[in-house]
Amino acid sequence: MVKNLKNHLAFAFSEYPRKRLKYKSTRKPFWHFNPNFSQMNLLGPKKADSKLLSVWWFVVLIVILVGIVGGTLLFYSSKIDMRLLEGEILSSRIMDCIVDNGYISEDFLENKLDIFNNCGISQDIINKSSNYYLNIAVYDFNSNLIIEKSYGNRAFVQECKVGAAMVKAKNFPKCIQKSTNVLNSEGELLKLNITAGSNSEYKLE
Amino acid sequence: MNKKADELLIEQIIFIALNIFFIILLLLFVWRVGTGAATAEESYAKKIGLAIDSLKPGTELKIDISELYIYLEKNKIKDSPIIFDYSKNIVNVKVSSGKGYSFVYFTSLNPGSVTIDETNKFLSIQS
Repeated sequence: MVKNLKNHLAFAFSEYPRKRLKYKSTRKPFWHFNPNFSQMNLLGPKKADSKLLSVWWFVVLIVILVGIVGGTLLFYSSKIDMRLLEGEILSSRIMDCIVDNGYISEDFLENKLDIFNNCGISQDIINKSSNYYLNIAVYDFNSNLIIEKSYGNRAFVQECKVGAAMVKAKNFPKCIQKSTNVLNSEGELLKLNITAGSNSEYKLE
Repeated sequence: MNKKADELLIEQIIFIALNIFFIILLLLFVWRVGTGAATAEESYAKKIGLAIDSLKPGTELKIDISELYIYLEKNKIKDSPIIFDYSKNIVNVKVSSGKGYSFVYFTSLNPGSVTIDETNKFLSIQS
């Protein structure tokens, strides 16, 4: 039954009708669905017939094409992930800018320091591109907050936690948190926390 | 000549020609993607962007970009391989006929602080 059906279908899609069957036309294009398939020959096609340019051959070509093109594109389109590195660089830069020899800038503590001008960071990129996040917080010895400044995309606070919790979070930002002990001008011990996040991989796409 | 044999021969020739054409198309595609120009564009744009961001004030950095010139010659492009947009903080590396690859750096860079030495094929960044 199955064999009959297979032969039936093979005959239905055959490109050339066989001579021993009485057809109106002797030659049809390969894509032509043979209307005389009810007259199929259960013994299969004759040896002299050719089935090179059949629909199935083009299906095979398309499958090969899709496979090779897909594989090649997948291999070469993998991006170089820079998000963690950018977060690291941004936090280090802020650290170097507001801390000098272990002493934190008094201007920063008094909220007089313009981070962007003094640290040479573009305000437009951090605040308007929504691909960066920066949080600087200073605590005293008893963990009381002295000053906290946030710039950029505040949504990264939650998104970084989600991204860190998931095994594969492709479009989530990546954040770096740095913490260090610093001194103020009076020699009091303070704790400086810097969180920097980046999602710059997707900013131009 | 035998008409049937003639038809079969033509069909065989068409079949072989189509297959060869198909294989050549595939090889061309793989070769085009695999030449590495796109990968080089992306990696150099990101390298330069990160180098700018990590530079400390008063530092001068030189990056060897001779590899980019090899791609330029190969792709017959006469433009500069690296273009800076100081207003938008974008570095664009383009060594093929496409748009190239752009990367955004967050450092405020003064116009003219990046120069390209075309004879020695070096990129010089002054922070």
